[in-house]
Amino acid sequence: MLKDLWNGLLAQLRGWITNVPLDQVVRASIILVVGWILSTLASRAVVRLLATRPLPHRVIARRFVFFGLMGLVVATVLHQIGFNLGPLFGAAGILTVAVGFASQTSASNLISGLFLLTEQAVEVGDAITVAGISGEVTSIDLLSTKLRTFDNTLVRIPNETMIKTEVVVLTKFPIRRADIDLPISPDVDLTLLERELRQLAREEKEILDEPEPVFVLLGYTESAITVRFGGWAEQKRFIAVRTRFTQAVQRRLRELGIGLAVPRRRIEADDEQTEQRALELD
Amino acid sequence: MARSSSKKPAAAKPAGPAGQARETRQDGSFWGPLELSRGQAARAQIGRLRAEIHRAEDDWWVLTEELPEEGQDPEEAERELQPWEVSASEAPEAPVAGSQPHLDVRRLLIDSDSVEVRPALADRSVIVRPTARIAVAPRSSVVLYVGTPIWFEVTCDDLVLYSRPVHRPPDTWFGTFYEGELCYAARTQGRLRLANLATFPARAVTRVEIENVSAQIFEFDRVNLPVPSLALYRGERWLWTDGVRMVKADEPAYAELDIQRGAPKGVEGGVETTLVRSPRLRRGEHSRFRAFGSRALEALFG
Repeated sequence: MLKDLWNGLLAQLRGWITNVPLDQVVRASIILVVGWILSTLASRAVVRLLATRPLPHRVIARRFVFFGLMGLVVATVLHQIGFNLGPLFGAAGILTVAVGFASQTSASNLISGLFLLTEQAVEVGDAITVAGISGEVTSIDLLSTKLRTFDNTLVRIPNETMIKTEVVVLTKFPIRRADIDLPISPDVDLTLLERELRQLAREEKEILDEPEPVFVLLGYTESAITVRFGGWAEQKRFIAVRTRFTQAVQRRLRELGIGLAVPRRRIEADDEQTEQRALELD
Repeated sequence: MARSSSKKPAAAKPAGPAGQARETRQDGSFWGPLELSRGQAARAQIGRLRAEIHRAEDDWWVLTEELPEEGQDPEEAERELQPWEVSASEAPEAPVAGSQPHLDVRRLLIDSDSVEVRPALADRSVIVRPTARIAVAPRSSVVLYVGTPIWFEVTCDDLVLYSRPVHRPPDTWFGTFYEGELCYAARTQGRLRLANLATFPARAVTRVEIENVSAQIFEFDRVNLPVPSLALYRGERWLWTDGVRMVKADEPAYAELDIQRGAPKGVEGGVETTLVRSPRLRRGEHSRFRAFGSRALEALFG
């Protein structure tokens, strides 16, 4: 039964091939070869035109032009040798819907990838934090962005995540501020603290003289005043400078006898038999 | 200029902590060639930088250390200059990592009887802040003498083998939050007369002429001095750089820069200055650049 069907199909194909005139086959072959050469040349020309754009953009543009033109060439060739493309396009439409449903995620990543490449907020070589993961961008592909984390593992972030969530680019600007938040006891002399911190920042040569370090009060509660001190550093040296400066601050605070604030509550007991007492709990 | 060390081999003299033979270089200078025999060491101090150069059997060692200020008047400490003293010495050993964080040790594998100790200018531009904001009247010019920090270099056959700042100046940023240039920061009195200029062995003096060609008063409180493009000269009292002339037109912050090659004329009382170091960077003698700042970048948000 199956064998009969197969033989029938083969006979039909043979009949179709033998029925196609030779001149049409030759013409179709010439269109295919010339089309292929022209597509290659056109895609190369587009790459040359986009010489100033980043590499991923050029690669995508080249593929887009090449495959687009080759699609037209193949359609023309099939038409030449007598294929009726109408039903094929109809089938392709149904197939596209089916495939579209099946590959929603991939399609979403693909579109996100295109947006990501055109937006250029993130570039290869940037250090970024996305979805709680920090690392250096090693490649931005159509479906995903690859990160090399600082402890040297490769993380693949789907482009959809890159578009949907906030991405922090750590290396965008040439200088960064290293903030240290210090919750200190409200009894501490803030003028003295500011003077000492500014002196420390002057001693640390890699903290920039300008912009000047900031000294701001973030909050005042019954148990703590929170002070933020931030010195600026060159972005490349930021981590080293922040670590060294934090160590220096810790040493200086210890020398000055300034400890960090601890939460405290004052509980007053009202007892008829005893005098009013205050008990301070740390 | 005879600046070689004593020819007498110090190793032949009794050595040891108590009776160590010490010789000072005859002309008492700090910069210049330094000739050592095997087993000799030379020690000197410039400002707060203490330097030792040892010649061992097969190699040379350079050890430098910036001494802490320890309550000393910083200007006084910066004037300190002890020329090279040569004595017999054991070859040093590199300290255990982290045991002496301020000591910088370099071992030079060179086959030579002498090295040269040379000054050099900073490897980045220096942003000089006058002690007070300066205003220049319209269509007039001023001349300021400005000191900038210098680097200590050990060279052999014009090859720089070791380089470090005598006093590491603090870094600073000249530009905006988005773009700019990493520079060194320096303060200056902005002396107008040479007679008022103190001698600091670890600073080079630049004659800066600022010409205001606009019709408005021009005020500034920081000047960008492109020292990597300047050559360094040695005079009797001071180290000099090429002169700099900045012509300020109406465009804010920018100026036309003219580098006047050679140490300023007549500044050393007729004594000739000698070139000791060519510019680190080659740059045209006439260019337009961002020369002035008049306001610090403000960190607005805590």
